[in-house]
Amino acid sequence: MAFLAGIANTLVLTLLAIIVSTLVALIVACLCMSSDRLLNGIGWGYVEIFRNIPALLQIFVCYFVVLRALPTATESMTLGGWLAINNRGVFLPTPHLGGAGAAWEALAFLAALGLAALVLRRKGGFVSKPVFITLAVVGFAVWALRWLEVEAPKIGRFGYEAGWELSPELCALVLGLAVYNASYIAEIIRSGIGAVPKGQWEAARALGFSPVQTMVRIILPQAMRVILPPMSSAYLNILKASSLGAAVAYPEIVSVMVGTTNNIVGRPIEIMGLTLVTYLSISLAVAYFMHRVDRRVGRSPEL
Amino acid sequence: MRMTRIEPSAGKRQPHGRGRMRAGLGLLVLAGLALLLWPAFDWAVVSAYWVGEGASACPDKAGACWPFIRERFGQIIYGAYPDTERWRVNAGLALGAVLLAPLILLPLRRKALLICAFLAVYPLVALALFAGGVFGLEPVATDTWGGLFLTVVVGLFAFTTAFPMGILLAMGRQSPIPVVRLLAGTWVEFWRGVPTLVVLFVAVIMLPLFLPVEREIDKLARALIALSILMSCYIGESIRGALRSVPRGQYEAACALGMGYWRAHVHVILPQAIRVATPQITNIVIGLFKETSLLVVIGLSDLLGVIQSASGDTEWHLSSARATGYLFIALIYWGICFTMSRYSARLERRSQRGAGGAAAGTGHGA
Repeated sequence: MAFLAGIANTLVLTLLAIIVSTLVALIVACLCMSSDRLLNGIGWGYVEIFRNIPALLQIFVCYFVVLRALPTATESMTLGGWLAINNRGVFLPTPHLGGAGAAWEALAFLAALGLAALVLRRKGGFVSKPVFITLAVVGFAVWALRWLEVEAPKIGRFGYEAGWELSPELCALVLGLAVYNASYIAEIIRSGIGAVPKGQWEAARALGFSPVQTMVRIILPQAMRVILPPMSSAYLNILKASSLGAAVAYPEIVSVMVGTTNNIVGRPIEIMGLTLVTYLSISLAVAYFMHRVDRRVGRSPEL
Repeated sequence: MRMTRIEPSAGKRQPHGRGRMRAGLGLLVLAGLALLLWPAFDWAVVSAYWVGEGASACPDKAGACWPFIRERFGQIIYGAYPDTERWRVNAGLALGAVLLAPLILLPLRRKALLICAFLAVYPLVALALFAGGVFGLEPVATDTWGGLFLTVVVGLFAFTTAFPMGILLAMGRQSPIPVVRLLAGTWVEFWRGVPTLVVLFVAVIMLPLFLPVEREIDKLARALIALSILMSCYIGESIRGALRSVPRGQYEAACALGMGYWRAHVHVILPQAIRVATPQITNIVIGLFKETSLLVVIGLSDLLGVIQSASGDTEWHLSSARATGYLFIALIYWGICFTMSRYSARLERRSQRGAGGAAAGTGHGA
């Protein structure tokens, strides 16, 4: 059981770190590619500073310095009562389903959507894609407004009680890993976009594409082929770096297996073997998945 | 055919208002940056405690506590290495720097031979100096090693052992013998798939189980073995990529000259491949240097470990000793890694100019 919890925690940490680092990296990559000298400098400064400091040190700074400096639970920083940040972690609102009808309605809605998608595929021009997506979004919004109740984090006798809690360890790890890895991912994105020949920009412009259209329809699809392989290894690196959770006692695989379980059970060979196999299988699965994606993206016509 | 006249682009003909708006935005960004950076600068420099002795010099956490760094400087650099023997650390590291500098900076002939000599001889000399027990030097137990010294030693030793192993692994993965190829491939992919920390734990917990009870190897050696296995796999992969970039004709020409497999590799193929792989190998070394910070998790007092233990003292509890320590070692790590990354970038530029950009990629070992 502890083992499964460890895997779940590892995956949660990895996923959050990947999302946050990719978002940060996108911003930094935009800064690095900007023609404005100041913004450009900020982007480069970010990359050069955070790439050259060990990830563990950054995690320790987040955990032992930044989080400790946050206010206590009673004086925590809140955002209109919906979000609370204090030295016990970050507290987010949790959604609840408001009644038995919710699931049925959702099911019916999804079925209708599926049907619509099928028709769309068959007939080609029956409903256009943007209309379909708008329909889906509006439908979901209506459903969410009717059935979803969001419970805000509430302060109780022992700190915050309701709400989705992100432990301080998790916050520090996500923050540290994201800040560190964003510097690598930003470089990957930047060099990928830089690898698209300049003629493509000029040709798109000559054909009357707007800058946004050029980016989305011409540049990104080509850049993706350069970006994906190093990006997948960067994501794998985040997965592997999630093992640093053991250093701040976040219960991910390594700290659960090597720390807790090994102390209780005392069978190091089996436990280490299981840990190794777990990482290997996750790594191989991700590598296989990225390979598939890579092949799909790589199938677009050659330059 | 009539040529279409292309309108001058909007970017060239900038209206006045646009430039002014841009300047305003720039000011806004500058102000934001200053707002963000000023508290950090204020904490580290302006409100920091600079003078005084001991923990009483910095009564609160409002500013950085530089007396802590001054007082623990020896510990941060040398760990618990005995005071009277510290000259040996200095001598060993200085020797390394003196030997390494001309190899990196000067265009020497027979560089490969010199590098091999360096890789083979220097570690032994350094080990004799650091650990002692020979030539009348006082023996110093490895558990007293720590701080920047330990970090540098681990990085240096792991690299010197991993480099030859990496070459062998790369050759193994390109070997004409299928069994060797399979074995080398499995070995490399296995270690590349698991986190460094797990490999360190495997070495620390499991290595003693496979050795006879009376042969106890110390923790540092176990960690070194783990790191060099890992690094050899990463280095092997980068050299393998470089080997593939060596044109087929080179193999064939070496063969035509009557060279065997080993001679062709040593004299013709590997020198070219290693030159191509050097920027990437430098990046791997940077990665390795940063990875040495994981040693604190298995209980060795490397640069990070020293700060963890020194600032954990109750007497420094009220001060911002820990944060100041982190800042200080972050500067050290940053300085070393940044220098290496500049070097790697320079090599990459040069090789791109020289060989028309044979094979150079971005990659880092982690």
